[in-house]
Amino acid sequence: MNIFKKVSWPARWAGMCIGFLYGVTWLTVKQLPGTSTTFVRLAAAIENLFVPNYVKNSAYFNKYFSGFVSLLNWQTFFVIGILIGASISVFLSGDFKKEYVPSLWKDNFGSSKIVRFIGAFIGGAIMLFGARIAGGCTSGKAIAEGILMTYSGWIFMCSLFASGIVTAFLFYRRKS
Amino acid sequence: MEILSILSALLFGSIFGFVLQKGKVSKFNVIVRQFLLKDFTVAVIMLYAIAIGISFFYTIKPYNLVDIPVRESSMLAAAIGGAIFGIGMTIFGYCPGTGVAALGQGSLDVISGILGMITGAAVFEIFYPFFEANVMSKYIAGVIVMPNYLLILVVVILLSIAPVLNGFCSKN
Repeated sequence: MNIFKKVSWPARWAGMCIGFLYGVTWLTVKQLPGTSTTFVRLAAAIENLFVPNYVKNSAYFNKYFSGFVSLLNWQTFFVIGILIGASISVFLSGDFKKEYVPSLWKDNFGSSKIVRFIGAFIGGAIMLFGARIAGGCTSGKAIAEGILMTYSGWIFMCSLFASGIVTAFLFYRRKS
Repeated sequence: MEILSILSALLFGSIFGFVLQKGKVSKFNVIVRQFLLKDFTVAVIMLYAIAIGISFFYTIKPYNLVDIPVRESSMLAAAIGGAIFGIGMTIFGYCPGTGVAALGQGSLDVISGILGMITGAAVFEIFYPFFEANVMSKYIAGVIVMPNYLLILVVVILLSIAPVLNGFCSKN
Protein backbone atom coordinates (compact mmCIF):
# COMPACT_ATOMS: atom_id res chain seq x y z
CA MET A 1 0.00 0.00 0.00
CA ASN A 2 2.92 2.25 0.72
CA ILE A 3 3.98 2.80 -2.89
CA PHE A 4 0.51 4.08 -3.78
CA LYS A 5 0.94 6.85 -1.22
CA LYS A 6 4.21 8.09 -2.69
CA VAL A 7 4.00 11.51 -4.34
CA SER A 8 5.80 10.21 -7.42
CA TRP A 9 7.34 7.11 -8.95
CA PRO A 10 10.58 6.85 -10.89
CA ALA A 11 9.88 7.42 -14.59
CA ARG A 12 10.94 3.87 -15.48
CA TRP A 13 8.28 2.34 -13.17
CA ALA A 14 5.60 4.50 -14.75
CA GLY A 15 6.84 3.66 -18.25
CA MET A 16 6.83 -0.07 -17.60
CA CYS A 17 3.31 0.06 -16.12
CA ILE A 18 2.06 1.94 -19.18
CA GLY A 19 3.68 -0.52 -21.61
CA PHE A 20 2.12 -3.41 -19.73
CA LEU A 21 -1.26 -1.65 -19.65
CA TYR A 22 -1.29 -1.33 -23.47
CA GLY A 23 -0.71 -5.08 -23.76
CA VAL A 24 -3.33 -6.07 -21.19
CA THR A 25 -5.92 -3.64 -22.59
CA TRP A 26 -5.55 -5.10 -26.08
CA LEU A 27 -5.52 -8.66 -24.79
CA THR A 28 -8.65 -8.31 -22.66
CA VAL A 29 -10.93 -5.84 -24.45
CA LYS A 30 -9.23 -5.36 -27.86
CA GLN A 31 -8.78 -1.64 -27.37
CA LEU A 32 -5.66 0.49 -27.33
CA PRO A 33 -5.53 3.56 -25.10
CA GLY A 34 -6.19 6.83 -26.89
CA THR A 35 -7.55 10.25 -26.00
CA SER A 36 -7.83 12.76 -28.82
CA THR A 37 -10.83 11.30 -30.70
CA THR A 38 -12.93 11.99 -27.60
CA PHE A 39 -12.46 15.71 -28.21
CA VAL A 40 -13.73 15.29 -31.78
CA ARG A 41 -16.87 13.58 -30.41
CA LEU A 42 -17.30 16.38 -27.86
CA ALA A 43 -16.96 19.03 -30.60
CA ALA A 44 -19.50 17.14 -32.73
CA ALA A 45 -21.89 16.81 -29.78
CA ILE A 46 -21.73 20.53 -29.00
CA GLU A 47 -22.23 21.52 -32.64
CA ASN A 48 -25.07 19.01 -32.83
CA LEU A 49 -26.96 21.06 -30.24
CA PHE A 50 -26.92 24.13 -32.49
CA VAL A 51 -26.46 22.97 -36.08
CA PRO A 52 -27.56 19.32 -36.26
CA ASN A 53 -27.85 19.37 -40.05
CA TYR A 54 -24.29 20.55 -40.46
CA VAL A 55 -23.02 17.74 -38.23
CA LYS A 56 -25.13 15.21 -40.10
CA ASN A 57 -23.51 16.21 -43.40
CA SER A 58 -19.96 16.51 -42.12
CA ALA A 59 -17.74 13.80 -43.60
CA TYR A 60 -15.32 14.06 -40.68
CA PHE A 61 -17.84 14.01 -37.83
CA ASN A 62 -19.65 11.12 -39.49
CA LYS A 63 -16.58 8.95 -38.98
CA TYR A 64 -16.91 9.22 -35.20
CA PHE A 65 -20.30 10.68 -34.39
CA SER A 66 -23.83 9.57 -35.21
CA GLY A 67 -25.91 11.19 -32.50
CA PHE A 68 -25.33 11.70 -28.80
CA VAL A 69 -25.19 7.95 -28.24
CA SER A 70 -21.71 8.05 -29.86
CA LEU A 71 -20.48 9.70 -26.67
CA LEU A 72 -21.08 6.37 -24.93
CA ASN A 73 -17.86 5.10 -26.38
CA TRP A 74 -15.09 3.00 -24.85
CA GLN A 75 -12.59 5.85 -25.21
CA THR A 76 -14.91 8.40 -23.58
CA PHE A 77 -15.03 6.31 -20.43
CA PHE A 78 -11.30 5.69 -20.67
CA VAL A 79 -10.75 9.47 -20.59
CA ILE A 80 -13.13 9.83 -17.62
CA GLY A 81 -11.09 7.06 -16.01
CA ILE A 82 -7.87 9.07 -16.47
CA LEU A 83 -9.45 11.89 -14.45
CA ILE A 84 -10.56 9.45 -11.75
CA GLY A 85 -7.18 7.69 -11.60
CA ALA A 86 -5.20 10.91 -11.31
CA SER A 87 -7.59 12.10 -8.59
CA ILE A 88 -7.11 8.85 -6.66
CA SER A 89 -3.34 9.24 -7.02
CA VAL A 90 -3.28 12.72 -5.46
CA PHE A 91 -5.90 11.74 -2.88
CA LEU A 92 -3.61 8.94 -1.64
CA SER A 93 -0.42 11.01 -1.77
CA GLY A 94 -2.00 14.19 -0.41
CA ASP A 95 -0.48 16.09 -3.33
CA PHE A 96 -3.66 17.79 -4.59
CA LYS A 97 -2.76 21.38 -5.44
CA LYS A 98 -5.15 23.93 -6.87
CA GLU A 99 -3.06 25.76 -9.45
CA TYR A 100 -4.02 28.28 -12.11
CA VAL A 101 -0.61 29.28 -13.43
CA PRO A 102 2.24 26.71 -13.46
CA SER A 103 5.51 28.08 -12.03
CA LEU A 104 7.52 27.81 -15.25
CA TRP A 105 4.81 29.70 -17.13
CA LYS A 106 4.81 32.34 -14.36
CA ASP A 107 8.58 32.81 -14.68
CA ASN A 108 8.26 33.52 -18.39
CA PHE A 109 4.89 35.19 -18.86
CA GLY A 110 3.92 36.52 -15.43
CA SER A 111 1.27 35.39 -12.97
CA SER A 112 -1.79 36.62 -14.88
CA LYS A 113 -4.45 33.92 -14.92
CA ILE A 114 -6.04 35.38 -18.04
CA VAL A 115 -2.80 35.25 -20.04
CA ARG A 116 -2.25 31.64 -18.96
CA PHE A 117 -5.82 30.68 -19.80
CA ILE A 118 -5.51 32.23 -23.27
CA GLY A 119 -2.19 30.42 -23.76
CA ALA A 120 -3.66 27.10 -22.64
CA PHE A 121 -6.65 27.59 -24.95
CA ILE A 122 -4.52 28.38 -28.01
CA GLY A 123 -2.02 25.63 -27.19
CA GLY A 124 -4.79 23.08 -26.73
CA ALA A 125 -6.41 24.09 -30.01
CA ILE A 126 -3.16 23.86 -32.01
CA MET A 127 -2.35 20.53 -30.36
CA LEU A 128 -5.67 18.89 -31.19
CA PHE A 129 -5.55 20.23 -34.75
CA GLY A 130 -2.17 18.53 -35.20
CA ALA A 131 -3.36 15.35 -33.53
CA ARG A 132 -6.28 15.06 -35.93
CA ILE A 133 -4.06 15.49 -38.99
CA ALA A 134 -1.80 12.71 -37.71
CA GLY A 135 -4.70 10.58 -36.48
CA GLY A 136 -3.83 10.44 -32.78
CA CYS A 137 -1.95 11.99 -29.89
CA THR A 138 0.79 10.87 -27.54
CA SER A 139 -1.22 7.93 -26.23
CA GLY A 140 -3.07 6.75 -29.34
CA LYS A 141 -0.38 7.52 -31.91
CA ALA A 142 3.11 7.89 -30.43
CA ILE A 143 3.05 5.14 -27.79
CA ALA A 144 0.46 2.83 -29.40
CA GLU A 145 2.05 2.93 -32.85
CA GLY A 146 5.54 2.98 -31.34
CA ILE A 147 4.66 -0.40 -29.83
CA LEU A 148 3.10 -1.60 -33.10
CA MET A 149 6.23 -0.31 -34.90
CA THR A 150 4.50 1.65 -37.64
CA TYR A 151 6.38 4.13 -39.82
CA SER A 152 3.83 6.86 -39.06
CA GLY A 153 4.03 6.32 -35.30
CA TRP A 154 7.79 6.82 -35.18
CA ILE A 155 7.71 9.74 -37.62
CA PHE A 156 5.03 11.39 -35.46
CA MET A 157 7.17 10.92 -32.35
CA CYS A 158 10.34 12.39 -33.91
CA SER A 159 8.41 15.27 -35.46
CA LEU A 160 6.63 16.09 -32.19
CA PHE A 161 9.88 16.15 -30.21
CA ALA A 162 11.69 18.26 -32.83
CA SER A 163 8.99 20.92 -32.99
CA GLY A 164 8.44 20.80 -29.22
CA ILE A 165 12.13 21.50 -28.59
CA VAL A 166 12.21 24.43 -31.04
CA THR A 167 8.99 25.87 -29.55
CA ALA A 168 10.24 25.48 -25.97
CA PHE A 169 13.51 27.27 -26.67
CA LEU A 170 11.61 30.11 -28.36
CA PHE A 171 8.92 30.42 -25.66
CA TYR A 172 10.50 29.52 -22.35
CA ARG A 173 14.12 30.54 -22.77
CA ARG A 174 13.92 33.41 -20.30
CA LYS A 175 13.82 31.21 -17.23
CA SER A 176 13.68 27.47 -16.73
CA MET B 1 -22.78 -0.23 -24.89
CA GLU B 2 -22.40 -2.97 -22.34
CA ILE B 3 -21.82 -2.23 -18.70
CA LEU B 4 -18.76 -4.51 -18.66
CA SER B 5 -17.21 -2.51 -21.47
CA ILE B 6 -17.82 0.75 -19.60
CA LEU B 7 -16.32 -0.70 -16.43
CA SER B 8 -13.25 -1.94 -18.30
CA ALA B 9 -12.73 1.50 -19.84
CA LEU B 10 -13.07 3.19 -16.45
CA LEU B 11 -10.69 0.67 -14.87
CA PHE B 12 -7.97 0.88 -17.52
CA GLY B 13 -8.40 4.64 -17.76
CA SER B 14 -8.01 4.97 -13.99
CA ILE B 15 -4.82 2.92 -14.04
CA PHE B 16 -3.50 5.05 -16.90
CA GLY B 17 -4.36 8.31 -15.11
CA PHE B 18 -2.95 7.04 -11.83
CA VAL B 19 0.35 6.07 -13.44
CA LEU B 20 0.62 9.31 -15.46
CA GLN B 21 0.17 11.29 -12.27
CA LYS B 22 2.68 9.18 -10.34
CA GLY B 23 5.10 9.48 -13.26
CA LYS B 24 4.85 13.31 -13.03
CA VAL B 25 4.01 13.72 -16.72
CA SER B 26 0.78 15.39 -15.59
CA LYS B 27 2.93 18.35 -14.54
CA PHE B 28 3.40 21.36 -16.80
CA ASN B 29 7.00 21.92 -15.66
CA VAL B 30 8.02 18.32 -16.39
CA ILE B 31 6.63 18.44 -19.95
CA VAL B 32 8.12 21.82 -20.80
CA ARG B 33 11.48 21.00 -19.19
CA GLN B 34 11.57 17.88 -21.38
CA PHE B 35 11.42 20.07 -24.48
CA LEU B 36 14.04 22.37 -22.94
CA LEU B 37 16.17 19.20 -22.61
CA LYS B 38 16.47 19.66 -18.85
CA ASP B 39 14.38 16.73 -17.65
CA PHE B 40 13.94 13.51 -19.63
CA THR B 41 11.00 12.04 -17.71
CA VAL B 42 8.67 12.12 -20.74
CA ALA B 43 11.17 10.38 -23.02
CA VAL B 44 12.04 7.75 -20.40
CA ILE B 45 8.38 6.90 -19.79
CA MET B 46 7.69 6.64 -23.52
CA LEU B 47 10.75 4.51 -24.25
CA TYR B 48 10.06 2.09 -21.39
CA ALA B 49 6.38 1.90 -22.32
CA ILE B 50 7.23 1.11 -25.95
CA ALA B 51 9.93 -1.43 -25.04
CA ILE B 52 7.66 -3.26 -22.60
CA GLY B 53 4.73 -3.02 -25.01
CA ILE B 54 6.74 -4.52 -27.91
CA SER B 55 7.95 -7.31 -25.62
CA PHE B 56 4.39 -7.99 -24.46
CA PHE B 57 2.97 -8.27 -27.98
CA TYR B 58 5.97 -10.31 -29.09
CA THR B 59 5.50 -12.71 -26.19
CA ILE B 60 1.78 -13.32 -26.74
CA LYS B 61 2.08 -13.55 -30.54
CA PRO B 62 2.86 -17.30 -30.81
CA TYR B 63 -0.17 -18.21 -28.67
CA ASN B 64 -2.67 -16.64 -31.11
CA LEU B 65 -4.80 -15.32 -28.26
CA VAL B 66 -5.72 -12.18 -30.19
CA ASP B 67 -4.69 -10.82 -33.54
CA ILE B 68 -2.06 -8.12 -33.33
CA PRO B 69 -3.54 -4.76 -34.35
CA VAL B 70 -2.56 -3.45 -37.78
CA ARG B 71 -2.51 0.25 -38.48
CA GLU B 72 -1.91 2.06 -41.74
CA SER B 73 -1.69 5.80 -42.07
CA SER B 74 0.00 8.61 -43.91
CA MET B 75 3.63 9.34 -43.09
CA LEU B 76 3.21 12.88 -44.41
CA ALA B 77 0.27 13.47 -42.06
CA ALA B 78 2.33 12.07 -39.18
CA ALA B 79 5.20 14.47 -39.94
CA ILE B 80 3.00 17.58 -40.37
CA GLY B 81 0.57 16.62 -37.60
CA GLY B 82 3.43 15.82 -35.23
CA ALA B 83 5.08 19.18 -35.85
CA ILE B 84 1.85 21.10 -35.19
CA PHE B 85 1.09 18.87 -32.18
CA GLY B 86 4.54 19.61 -30.68
CA ILE B 87 3.98 23.38 -30.89
CA GLY B 88 0.58 23.11 -29.20
CA MET B 89 1.77 20.67 -26.55
CA THR B 90 4.65 22.96 -25.57
CA ILE B 91 2.42 26.03 -25.25
CA PHE B 92 -0.35 24.16 -23.41
CA GLY B 93 2.19 22.21 -21.36
CA TYR B 94 0.28 18.94 -21.42
CA CYS B 95 -0.77 16.40 -24.02
CA PRO B 96 -4.46 15.41 -24.26
CA GLY B 97 -4.18 12.45 -21.86
CA THR B 98 -1.82 14.01 -19.33
CA GLY B 99 -3.90 17.19 -19.44
CA VAL B 100 -6.96 15.31 -18.23
CA ALA B 101 -4.79 13.73 -15.52
CA ALA B 102 -3.50 17.20 -14.57
CA LEU B 103 -7.08 18.36 -14.04
CA GLY B 104 -7.44 15.57 -11.48
CA GLN B 105 -4.43 16.85 -9.57
CA GLY B 106 -5.83 20.40 -9.44
CA SER B 107 -4.26 22.17 -12.45
CA LEU B 108 -7.21 24.36 -13.36
CA ASP B 109 -5.58 25.97 -16.41
CA VAL B 110 -6.41 22.65 -18.10
CA ILE B 111 -10.11 23.62 -18.21
CA SER B 112 -9.21 26.35 -20.68
CA GLY B 113 -6.98 23.89 -22.56
CA ILE B 114 -9.83 21.38 -22.85
CA LEU B 115 -12.09 24.07 -24.32
CA GLY B 116 -9.22 24.85 -26.69
CA MET B 117 -8.89 21.21 -27.68
CA ILE B 118 -12.61 20.95 -28.45
CA THR B 119 -12.28 24.12 -30.54
CA GLY B 120 -9.21 22.70 -32.30
CA ALA B 121 -11.19 19.58 -33.20
CA ALA B 122 -14.05 21.74 -34.51
CA VAL B 123 -11.68 23.84 -36.61
CA PHE B 124 -10.01 20.74 -38.01
CA GLU B 125 -13.40 19.44 -39.10
CA ILE B 126 -13.70 22.48 -41.38
CA PHE B 127 -10.32 21.81 -42.99
CA TYR B 128 -10.71 18.03 -43.09
CA PRO B 129 -11.61 17.77 -46.81
CA PHE B 130 -8.42 19.67 -47.72
CA PHE B 131 -6.16 17.58 -45.46
CA GLU B 132 -7.81 14.33 -46.49
CA ALA B 133 -7.25 15.08 -50.18
CA ASN B 134 -3.75 16.52 -49.97
CA VAL B 135 -2.08 15.11 -46.86
CA MET B 136 -3.81 12.22 -45.12
CA SER B 137 -4.17 10.13 -48.27
CA LYS B 138 -0.52 10.53 -49.32
CA TYR B 139 2.42 8.24 -48.49
CA ILE B 140 0.39 5.61 -46.62
CA ALA B 141 2.53 3.11 -44.74
CA GLY B 142 1.93 0.39 -42.22
CA VAL B 143 4.06 -1.65 -39.87
CA ILE B 144 7.85 -1.65 -40.18
CA VAL B 145 8.43 -5.27 -41.12
CA MET B 146 11.57 -6.67 -39.60
CA PRO B 147 12.95 -10.05 -38.61
CA ASN B 148 12.62 -11.11 -34.98
CA TYR B 149 16.26 -10.58 -34.10
CA LEU B 150 16.02 -6.94 -35.25
CA LEU B 151 12.89 -6.42 -33.16
CA ILE B 152 14.70 -7.79 -30.13
CA LEU B 153 17.60 -5.47 -30.95
CA VAL B 154 15.19 -2.50 -31.00
CA VAL B 155 13.90 -3.43 -27.53
CA VAL B 156 17.46 -3.81 -26.25
CA ILE B 157 18.43 -0.42 -27.69
CA LEU B 158 15.33 1.27 -26.21
CA LEU B 159 16.00 -0.31 -22.83
CA SER B 160 19.62 0.80 -22.91
CA ILE B 161 18.99 4.42 -23.97
CA ALA B 162 16.32 4.81 -21.32
CA PRO B 163 18.56 4.38 -18.22
CA VAL B 164 21.04 6.88 -19.66
CA LEU B 165 18.26 9.43 -20.12
CA ASN B 166 16.95 8.45 -16.69
CA GLY B 167 20.02 10.15 -15.23
CA PHE B 168 18.64 13.43 -16.57
CA CYS B 169 15.29 13.12 -14.79
CA SER B 170 14.61 15.50 -11.93
CA LYS B 171 14.52 13.75 -8.59
CA ASN B 172 12.03 14.43 -5.87
